[in-house]
Amino acid sequence: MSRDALINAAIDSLVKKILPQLQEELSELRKQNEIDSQIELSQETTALIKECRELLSMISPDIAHPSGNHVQKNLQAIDELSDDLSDEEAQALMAAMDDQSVTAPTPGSKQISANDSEDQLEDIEGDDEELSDEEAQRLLAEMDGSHNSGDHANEELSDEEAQRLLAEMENPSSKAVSKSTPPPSDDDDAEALLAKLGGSEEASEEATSTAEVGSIAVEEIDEWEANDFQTDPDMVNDFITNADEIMENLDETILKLEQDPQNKSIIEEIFRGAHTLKGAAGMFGFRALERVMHRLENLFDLIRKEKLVANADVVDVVFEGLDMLRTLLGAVKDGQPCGAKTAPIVNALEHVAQGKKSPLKRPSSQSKGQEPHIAEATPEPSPASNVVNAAPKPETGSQSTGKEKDTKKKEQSTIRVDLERLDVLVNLVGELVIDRTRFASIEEELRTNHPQIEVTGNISETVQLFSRHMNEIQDIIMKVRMVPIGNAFNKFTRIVRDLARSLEKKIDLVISGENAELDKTLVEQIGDPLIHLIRNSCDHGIEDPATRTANGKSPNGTIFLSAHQEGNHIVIKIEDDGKGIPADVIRRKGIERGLISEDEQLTDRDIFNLIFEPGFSTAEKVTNISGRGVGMDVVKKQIMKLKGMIEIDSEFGRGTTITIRLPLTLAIVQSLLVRSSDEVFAIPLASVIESIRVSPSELQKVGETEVFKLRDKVLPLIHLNEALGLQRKHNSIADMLRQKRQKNLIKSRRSQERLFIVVVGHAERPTGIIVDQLLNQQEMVIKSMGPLMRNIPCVAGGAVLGHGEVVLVLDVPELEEATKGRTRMLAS
Amino acid sequence: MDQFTRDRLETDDSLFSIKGDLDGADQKQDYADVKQFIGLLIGKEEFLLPIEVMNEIIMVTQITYVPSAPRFIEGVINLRGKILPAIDLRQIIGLEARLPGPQSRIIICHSEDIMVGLIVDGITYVISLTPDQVQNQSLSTKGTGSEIIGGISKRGDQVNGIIDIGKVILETGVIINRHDNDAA
Repeated sequence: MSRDALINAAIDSLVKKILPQLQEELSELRKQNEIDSQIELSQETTALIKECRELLSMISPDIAHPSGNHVQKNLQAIDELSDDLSDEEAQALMAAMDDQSVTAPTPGSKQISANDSEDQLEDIEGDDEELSDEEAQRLLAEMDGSHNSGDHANEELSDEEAQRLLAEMENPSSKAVSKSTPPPSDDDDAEALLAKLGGSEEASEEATSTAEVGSIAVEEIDEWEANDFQTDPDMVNDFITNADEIMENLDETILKLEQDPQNKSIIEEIFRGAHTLKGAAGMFGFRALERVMHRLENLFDLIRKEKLVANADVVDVVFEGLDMLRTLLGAVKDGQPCGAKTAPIVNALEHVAQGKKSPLKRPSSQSKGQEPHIAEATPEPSPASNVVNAAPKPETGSQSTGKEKDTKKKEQSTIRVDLERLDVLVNLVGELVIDRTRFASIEEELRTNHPQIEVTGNISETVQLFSRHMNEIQDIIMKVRMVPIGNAFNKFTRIVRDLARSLEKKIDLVISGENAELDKTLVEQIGDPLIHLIRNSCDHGIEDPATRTANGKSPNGTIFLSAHQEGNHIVIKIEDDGKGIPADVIRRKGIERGLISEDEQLTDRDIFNLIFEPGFSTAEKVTNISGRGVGMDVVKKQIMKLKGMIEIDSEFGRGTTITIRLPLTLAIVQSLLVRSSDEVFAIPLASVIESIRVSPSELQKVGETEVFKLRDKVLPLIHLNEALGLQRKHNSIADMLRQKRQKNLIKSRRSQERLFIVVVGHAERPTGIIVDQLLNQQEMVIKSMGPLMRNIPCVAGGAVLGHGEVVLVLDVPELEEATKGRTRMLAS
Repeated sequence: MDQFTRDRLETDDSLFSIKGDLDGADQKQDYADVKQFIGLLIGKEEFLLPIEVMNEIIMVTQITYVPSAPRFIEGVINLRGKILPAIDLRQIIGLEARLPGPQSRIIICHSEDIMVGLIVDGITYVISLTPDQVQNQSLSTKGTGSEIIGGISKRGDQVNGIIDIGKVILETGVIINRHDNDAA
């Protein structure tokens, strides 16, 4: 019943106010512009009018009231109009309607779509929240009107409406009180608030008397309204994924908008996203989401109509709104309402929306310096925080990439696939790859040992074909999981912007190479370490504008975030042009903490890498952004877990560069098989630079470490069997089994004359691993060896070879670390 | 080379041959609360292992040595593409490691989500025990090997230790809780 009443009210307002006005405007227009009426209607207008008509025709049967006739009449009128509207007229019409949407308490008719009647009502409520005197009067008059119409339904409606209105009006007034209490709020602001407060109080009084309802204010609207869609997990999941995507997109586009407020296509994109999300939220009955989204949409609409400039302040509030949406979305994901209060944010949004209309009223609430994390709680506007910042200086904290990608709209046909299914597929392909190598080895055996068998040729051919197809499948399946790293990068624009504003620094973030592709899990997991590093750069790296100017730098600090592919690796670089890291300070701290000894000679690079030691911090004071000394070691651990490497380089006074290398994918790895002490190991080819054969006499010793001079570089060496402790394997069952197996075979020719060095690691600082024999290259799937074998030093996992044999895959960075640790231990 | 291939094929064929015996023993049982155990040999001594923790029994073919592995873990084996650690029960009860003989087997079993292979010197047969034949009691500190015993069976005058697979895993000294942390 109540919904019917609401619809009625919506219709009423539509019928009584908008349509006549619309007609009026149109007829006037027609008089003014005697322009050829043959020109086709603009699409938008047609759609708009169609929507109106649909809405009306849908609801009109429900209204057993003279106004129904009214509707019919209006319908006819619209029909007529749409028949002979000219372009210009249409535009003017649009303009007229826009005006209405701003000035009248009823919404612009463009908002009306078949399922939007609810919105409309909310709109009425929403506007009422911030009722000015005038508006209140008008609304009351309107209500009176409907009251007088004598229709039963309308009577009920007005009562209900009044109640709701009252509630809404009382809400903001109480808020206004709380808002005006904090002392440091600007005078003007306070006045405006007080005025508003008075206004709404008056309004509520009046409303009380008119509607003769004296009930207490109803709390905020329910966060959720149960409906069938909500209980369908599939639908909700769809909604969530969709919403996440849209939110991501919104963040990005809004930042773009801030840079380029005039760009129509950007605001259109934002608007589309906002509208879609609002519609979906409404459908699912997530009322709070819908409400906030709706306000945002209104705001975007104003911007679209150029009635509002998207300056930093507006964007601040919009972001707050987005944060609120995230909180609410989080609640949807958790499956239960979070009880976040949406009213403050709705309020703030309204303020900003009115910023243009009543220039006296400044946007009064932004909260600043909030942690830009999704996890944050209700973004309560903190009025005291930055009244100064609210001044309309067109300052932009950060800058997204200068590249104008003109909102590339490459139409891609995509399909959403459950990640779990995809993983199963990837694993199966991994197994198939193993099968392929198995086939290949059988084929080879047949070919060499049984050339007399006739089918051999056929088999060889088939196996070759099979291999080729497998290669293709493997390529494709690997690409399926790849996503552009830009997905991880894009949120940084926002983070840097927020940080810059709260630190009162000027920081530009320049992103490049966001199209480089990376395994999805990697993209997801690299996000947190990157956030940490970027925060570090903002907090420790970039100096404040004054210092920068004093040092002869541009006041705007720049952080370059880039990614590019190098072979099987992705290289992510975070460069800043800040103050850099003083190597001597790090060295001193390192000595203080006993990480290095006093007389140890270290390159600057080695010294910088001390930063990754647990608990290492050079910051004199701890800020809320960084400096507690936890972090860099966590970052390093996370990167190592992703089989990546991280390096830090810095020039004091000039800036810091952090380089992260990650493998493109974790699933299938090309590996080099080597033998050491009769055991076979796999070294991921990605970390192998080259392999060389040397005679033992060519090895030299520097202190305890064996080295080999490779061209112009000195290569520190590791004996694989020593590093792993392979000498301990004697009398193990595995060893006995192998010896038994090998009894029949020719003894593996292990000549002492020759050694093999596998050069691994970073191209600039390679390490040599000494092995007895190089076997071959093979693709393999690295597998976990179960929880019992999780922490085997220097072993990344196991892999099953063609003949079902398990080999251990070496963890090269860990191997390097381990030996380094040993030399360090020896040194101290 | 030729020989090697044939050898391998035979191995693959015989992987599951022992399972038939287990099924045969199954049919004799018709009591409700009877529990089944598999008898296994470590050295000369017979132990029992609850059948519900057992997945399958395979031949000892190839074990890959893992350097610095937790104690008693002799290496890893490949079970149809899955890599599992192999624990030598001989060493847990204090015997020398030795080359697996023709009777040696690996029992694949699990404790919650952890799968391991147990290297044993032989399998005897499947035994059914009524509850009163089983005494759930761990042994007091009576020499090496008693740590993995979770109960004792009494059949007439024959007394056997019942192996608790959870305790076997505990013996390796790996703290499994870490697993949760890593997953988070």
